[in-house]
Amino acid sequence: MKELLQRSFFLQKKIIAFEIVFMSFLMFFGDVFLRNNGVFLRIIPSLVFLSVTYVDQLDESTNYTRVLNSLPTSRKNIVNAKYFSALILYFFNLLIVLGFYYGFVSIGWIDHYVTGFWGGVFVSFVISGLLVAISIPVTIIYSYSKSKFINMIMFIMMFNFSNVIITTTNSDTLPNGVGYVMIPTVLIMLFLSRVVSINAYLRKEF
Amino acid sequence: MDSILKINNLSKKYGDFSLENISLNLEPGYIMGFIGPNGAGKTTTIKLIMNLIQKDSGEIKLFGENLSDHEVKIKDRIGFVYDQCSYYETFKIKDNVKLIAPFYSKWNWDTFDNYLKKFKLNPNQKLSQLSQGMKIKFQLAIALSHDADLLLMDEPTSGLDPVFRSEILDILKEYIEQGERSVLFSTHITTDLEKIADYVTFINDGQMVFSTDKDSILEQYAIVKGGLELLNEEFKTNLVGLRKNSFGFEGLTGNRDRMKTRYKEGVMIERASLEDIMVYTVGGIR
Amino acid sequence: MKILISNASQEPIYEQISTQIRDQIIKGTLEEGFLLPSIRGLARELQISVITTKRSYEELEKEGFIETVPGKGSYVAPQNLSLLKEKKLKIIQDKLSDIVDQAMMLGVDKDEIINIIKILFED
Repeated sequence: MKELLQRSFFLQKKIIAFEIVFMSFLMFFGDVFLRNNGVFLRIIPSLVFLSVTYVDQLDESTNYTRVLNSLPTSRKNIVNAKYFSALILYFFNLLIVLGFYYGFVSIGWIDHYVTGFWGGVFVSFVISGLLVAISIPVTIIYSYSKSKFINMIMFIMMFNFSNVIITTTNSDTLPNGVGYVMIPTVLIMLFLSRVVSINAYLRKEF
Repeated sequence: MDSILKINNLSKKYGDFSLENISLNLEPGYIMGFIGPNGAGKTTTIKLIMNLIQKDSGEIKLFGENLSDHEVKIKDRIGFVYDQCSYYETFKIKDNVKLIAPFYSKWNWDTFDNYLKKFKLNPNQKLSQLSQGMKIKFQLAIALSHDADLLLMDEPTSGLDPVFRSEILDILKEYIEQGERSVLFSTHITTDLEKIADYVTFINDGQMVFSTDKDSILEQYAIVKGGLELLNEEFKTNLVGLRKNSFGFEGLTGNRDRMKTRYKEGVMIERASLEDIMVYTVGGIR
Repeated sequence: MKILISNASQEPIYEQISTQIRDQIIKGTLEEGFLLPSIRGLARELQISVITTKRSYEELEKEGFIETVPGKGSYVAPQNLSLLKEKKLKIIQDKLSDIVDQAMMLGVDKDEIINIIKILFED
């Protein structure tokens, strides 16, 4: 598993570097000038999504899947690594956001309360989870090139969906009851998605 | 000791193509050539061995075990070289290898660096800058750097110049010299195998023609030449392949001894090369 | 020890090897106790199949020219001088019997053949 994660982060390293710069930029302007953090937390899902599909795109364009599946690892491991790396990336992004947030709070550039901060964390998790839960099996089943379109539509839908979640859960402050239901729902979806992905990947021909 | 690779009645329908009842056995310490024209099913068989595609029926044992039961352990012991180099084209050699090395429990950087030097490859070169032959060398360097017990190669010599082809043959001989490792080597350039292969497996159009030691094959088969008057139906039963011209015929027999004793006079019997055997078998009786 | 392999020859490679080693033993170039290269080592050097070299050695062993000590290698076996002489003669006899067959087929008689041999020796 370690070597698979190492591989995916190596491939994503340019995106990850961009993420750090992009996030710090947004955090600075968002927190200090606009005094709204939640918007930028909603960027996390797009970055997670981008990183995950970037690896699929790279692997497919060079037929690297043949090499990958010839290496001493199992198909199950390969799929698990996709989910695992998405999860790590999510927390990595979250850490940057939290780091800046508490950093700015401690030096007194922002008040302790910024509109939509925890709501943003919540929404970012739900949306990241949904994107990953759908795009991984779809890409495995239909291949990256064929699922590009589906992924794109889903991505736009999810972006709008985040606003729906925010209003229905009224989570500009903290998630209410509906919000608490959403988290386990996303976790269950991720679990089911993993089962579907592994089954589909086991049948794939390279 | 267990066979390195043992295949029993392997079958697979793959699109319009079907591979039927392939069987072979590769003991430690030998080189097996895997021959057949393009599209005969060589790559399909190699993909089946590596579990890149799933078999319909039959059995594949690697080091005495099923791949699906011990996938990681078994693949750790296989070095592969494919006809198409599927590594990241836009990456440097060294970055590509950095991604691969951690997968192998016995990866050896010194060995790898030595092969790079030997093959005159620059680790800072991007794969997209490499010629077909250099890509084969790159793959071979990886395959040889983790102490694998089986080297699986799909058409490794097709894009190579004769000088490096002979170099590869030397490397392969060295690789198996201790008697514990084996090589399966698919190719349609049979001259490479003529000398070094210990065993030859020949498939044509998804069907097994033979899989046995090369020396007995070369003794069993022979080129027969003679006048057209000899060519009756009975004579033809001795031939696997036949080509006629206005002055006579040239054919391949799978039973050299019988030919020699029965048709002592009037025919010319010559040694057949693996290429003759392949060409005539594929061509059939015309 | 010298082994040269011809790819053009009709003679199978294993036979080429055993013939050349046998000739060198008979001529005395390879002496009793001489350690021959290992089967795998020879195959590697000559870039030929292990099965081929194995077969050559087996043939020589059967004929009593070499001996194999498991784990150590193959040595040139002690040669019985009268037996060696016999073997040498056997080789000549085999060749001559081919010539006699051919002579009979072509209708050349015994005296003519003996004459040719005499002339060849005098050359």
